[in-house]
Amino acid sequence: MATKVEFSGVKKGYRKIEILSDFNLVVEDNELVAILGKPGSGKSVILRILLGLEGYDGGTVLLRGEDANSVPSGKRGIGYIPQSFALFPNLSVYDNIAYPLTLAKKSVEEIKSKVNMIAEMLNIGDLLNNKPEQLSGGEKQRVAIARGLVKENDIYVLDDPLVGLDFKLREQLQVDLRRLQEELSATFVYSTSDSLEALALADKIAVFYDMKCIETGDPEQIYREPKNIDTMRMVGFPDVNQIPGKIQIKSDKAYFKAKNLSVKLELDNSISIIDRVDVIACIRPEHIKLLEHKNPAMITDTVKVILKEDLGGEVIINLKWNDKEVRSVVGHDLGDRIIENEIRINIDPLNIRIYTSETGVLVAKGVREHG
Amino acid sequence: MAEITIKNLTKMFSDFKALNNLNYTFSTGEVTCLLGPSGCGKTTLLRIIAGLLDQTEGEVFFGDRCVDPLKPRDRKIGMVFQYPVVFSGLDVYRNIELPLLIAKLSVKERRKRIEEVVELLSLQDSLKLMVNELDNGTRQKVSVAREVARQPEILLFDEPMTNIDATNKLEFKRTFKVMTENLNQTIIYVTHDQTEAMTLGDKIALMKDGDIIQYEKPRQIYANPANTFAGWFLGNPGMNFFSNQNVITSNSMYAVKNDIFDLKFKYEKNIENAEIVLGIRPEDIKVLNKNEPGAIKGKIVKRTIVIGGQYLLKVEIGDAVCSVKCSDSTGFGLEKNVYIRLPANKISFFTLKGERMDCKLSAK
Repeated sequence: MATKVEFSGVKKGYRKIEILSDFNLVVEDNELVAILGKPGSGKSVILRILLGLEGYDGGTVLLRGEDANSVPSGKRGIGYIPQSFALFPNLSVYDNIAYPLTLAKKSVEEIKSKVNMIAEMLNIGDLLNNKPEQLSGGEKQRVAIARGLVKENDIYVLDDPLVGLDFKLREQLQVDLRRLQEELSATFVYSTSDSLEALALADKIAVFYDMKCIETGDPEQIYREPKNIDTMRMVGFPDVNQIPGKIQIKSDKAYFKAKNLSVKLELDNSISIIDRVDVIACIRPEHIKLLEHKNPAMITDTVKVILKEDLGGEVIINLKWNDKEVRSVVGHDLGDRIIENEIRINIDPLNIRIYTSETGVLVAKGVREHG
Repeated sequence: MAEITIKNLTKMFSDFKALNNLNYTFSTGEVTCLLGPSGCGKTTLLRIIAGLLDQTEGEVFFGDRCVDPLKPRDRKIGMVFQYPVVFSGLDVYRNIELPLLIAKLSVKERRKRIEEVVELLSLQDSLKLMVNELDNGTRQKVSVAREVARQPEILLFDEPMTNIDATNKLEFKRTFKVMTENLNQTIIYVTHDQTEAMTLGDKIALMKDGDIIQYEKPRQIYANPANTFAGWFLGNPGMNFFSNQNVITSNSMYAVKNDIFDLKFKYEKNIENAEIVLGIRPEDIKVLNKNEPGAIKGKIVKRTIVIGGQYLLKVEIGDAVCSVKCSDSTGFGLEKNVYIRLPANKISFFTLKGERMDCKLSAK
């Protein structure tokens, strides 16, 4: 596998705001990398540096093994799919898709075969003679994606291409995009503000928060073992449960202490931690188990049910635990069985992660005291 | 309180048929969610019921009273829009009171009604605040309270949570649920969000291309979709479909027997040698590390993390690829080669055109 793009130690700032301090990301051939972050989190700076629309202050960016600075923006051979698609209203779907090839003065035969091929891949083959105004929102989006992909490149940059679409449409287009990327054997660098979209599509995710890249990793790592509390907060649905408390260190043993809650901890030895420091315990909703038998190894309590939210396949159970609202997510079979106002929760301490309140760094994991 | 009946309701926008000859009654004391993708006609239907839009054909009744000649203000409806409508410069109490003052209600009656809605919508702590100081969720609660206090026969909601941020949405949903359990008005609630519809609706009217496809309790639609669209639209991802399944006859029963399915069933119509579509939800498929009776060999071609940390697996079985949802603990240790089981009682039957078939499985 050849490396397509490599950021190493890249620095980038705007006046006093440092967005990238030591940004490292390797994008391999045929990979889909998601740049995840809310609007205004600084994620598009990666796309702009890659496209050559902006420089950087330090480090190196290699494009197909070559220093990107030596390749001018227009010659980088990177396809670009912007967030807002302006289709030409007076041109047919065919001419809209063909536009980049017409501009590149390709032969009529070549244009025809490429437009047809990409239109088939995106299931818009029978719309080619229509005008944009005759299309639904999702169809327009497909046409715009087709136009962005029709000119052959090995790298494409997609800037949140599904934002603002209906949920079901996004679901469909996510599948289409991933399939296309694999069929074209292309590398996609894909920005999005939807963490489920990043998890569904990406081989690797770079997480941006508050004008900084806070973490990179594969979906498994980013979701299950985030090193930063903001990654924990941003990635996944429903939102993670957060319980503020303090660290207590007693004769070499460490505990997380909050109101009516004590969890034995295994500290990360690489980080020094002091007694009584403010921390936040994070528990993913799926780790708050409901209606299970009592088990001495588990943290257990009786809590109040506030609201059941039905997602179809799953049910989110909103709960009140020690004056704090928390949520659990269960399959719908179990969800249907929850009818009482008060139920028992079980939490395996092994699934609890502790982050410092001040820096948001992962400092400890829960361990079982019994059993 | 009045139920809403629509008779032969059609709406054309020049050549485009937005509503296609609808005949339904929405019961009193229930929340009906009009759910569907954009362009399905749900907002058009709501606006016609409200009197904000004229239908091309057909009639709208509240109880036994035809309301077509009536202007919106004479229809005794309350309406809540996407963006909270509040009178800025007034506090919450005054906002709720204003329409009651206009209706010339007595001081005593006004106070009574306001106390009731404030309690119903848990607005006690915000009563003296100016509406400008509130977040959008609380503002929307104020606009709901104002409409409810007027005691209309019918309450209409047009995607009221669109402009409420995620943290305040939960509070709005909770309040809405408590409120509607205590009201006996007829409530119509438009949304494109299936979770909202399944959580808040007593019934869902699922719409597509100007038609109401199914009008039932949320769980019934989810478990027994009227057609393949309903099976696909509800759920994320929606149902898996296996098309072109050959029906054979076996011992006076019908059967589908191939590499994936081994089903025996009864059906009231003659479907000998017909082809049908079988559907099953991703969470109803069981995935196993070892073979067991009735299991089929499959290969995991993709594994992604979805809602609640579950795994969504794409499993190749023969020529087909199906989506399977499993918990993180089940999914974690899985090898590439797995076995899956499709429980017969979780399978839905459809015609090739996608219409539901009520087949009776043989008890094995």
